[in-house]
Amino acid sequence: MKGMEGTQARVMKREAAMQRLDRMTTGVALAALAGVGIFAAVSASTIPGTSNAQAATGASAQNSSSATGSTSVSQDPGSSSGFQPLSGVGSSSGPGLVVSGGSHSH
Amino acid sequence: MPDTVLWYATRGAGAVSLILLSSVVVLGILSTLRVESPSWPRFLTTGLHRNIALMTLVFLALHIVTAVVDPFTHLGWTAALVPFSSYYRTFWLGLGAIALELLLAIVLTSLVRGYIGHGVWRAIHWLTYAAWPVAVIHGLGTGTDSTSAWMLAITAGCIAGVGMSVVLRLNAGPRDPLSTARDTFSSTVDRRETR
Repeated sequence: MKGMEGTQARVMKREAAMQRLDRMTTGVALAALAGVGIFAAVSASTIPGTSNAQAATGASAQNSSSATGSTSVSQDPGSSSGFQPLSGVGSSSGPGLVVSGGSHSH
Repeated sequence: MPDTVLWYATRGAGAVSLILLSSVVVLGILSTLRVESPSWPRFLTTGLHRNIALMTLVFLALHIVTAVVDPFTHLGWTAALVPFSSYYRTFWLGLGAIALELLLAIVLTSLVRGYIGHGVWRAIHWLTYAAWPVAVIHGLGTGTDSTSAWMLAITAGCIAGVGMSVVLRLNAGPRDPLSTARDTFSSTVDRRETR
């Protein structure tokens, strides 16, 4: 009889711990979701982007063929320390060109 | 919708993914230490470790998908999934792709642990010790906010948390009560075989 009570107590304890696990998981998930929003807002306020986004994309830069030899550089949305597509231009080949038609102007 | 929203979401999800991944590593190490108390049974640590690991993949997916579909970054799926194929910060993004693939291997093998056996699962699980630093370096190298004070604080907190758990783990020694006896037995057998 005493053994039955002990088993019952263990089952109850395990059940409570399982509920706790569920609550903690839900809490972490909600906190993480809120975290994405908060960190996105903080990142937007510390290093804001600009609206001329397409100009910085690899595809648009590739499509913009300019034979004039002039160099057009899109504005980096992440300021000097942020997203810097230009850093990829010198180090690799491929479609990621932000500088259009300016290969002779360097 | 402003075209920078996805860009901000990428950065936010990246920060959250790093925190979650670090928590998973810490909980994994704590579970090997068999941490428990009357109010905190051991399976709670393991359960939380598993649930947050799966959650990390979800937020990592958010981080990657928003980066890929964002018209500003225009990375493309190849850059996100094939290491060192990106035109943009080739090396740093390549590390991110490697970390993702290591994590996928770790989580998927954990889900089929019963089929692949404990030895294989354990060997692959050790890749966590490679995946986490690779992810941290990816964030430091390519993260737009990596030089911002708030992101530096998050990164430092994650490194401190994981570092402390690793130190705890190393100092704790084997928690298996039979490990000493097993080691003695093994060394005795080895001595006899070499005679």
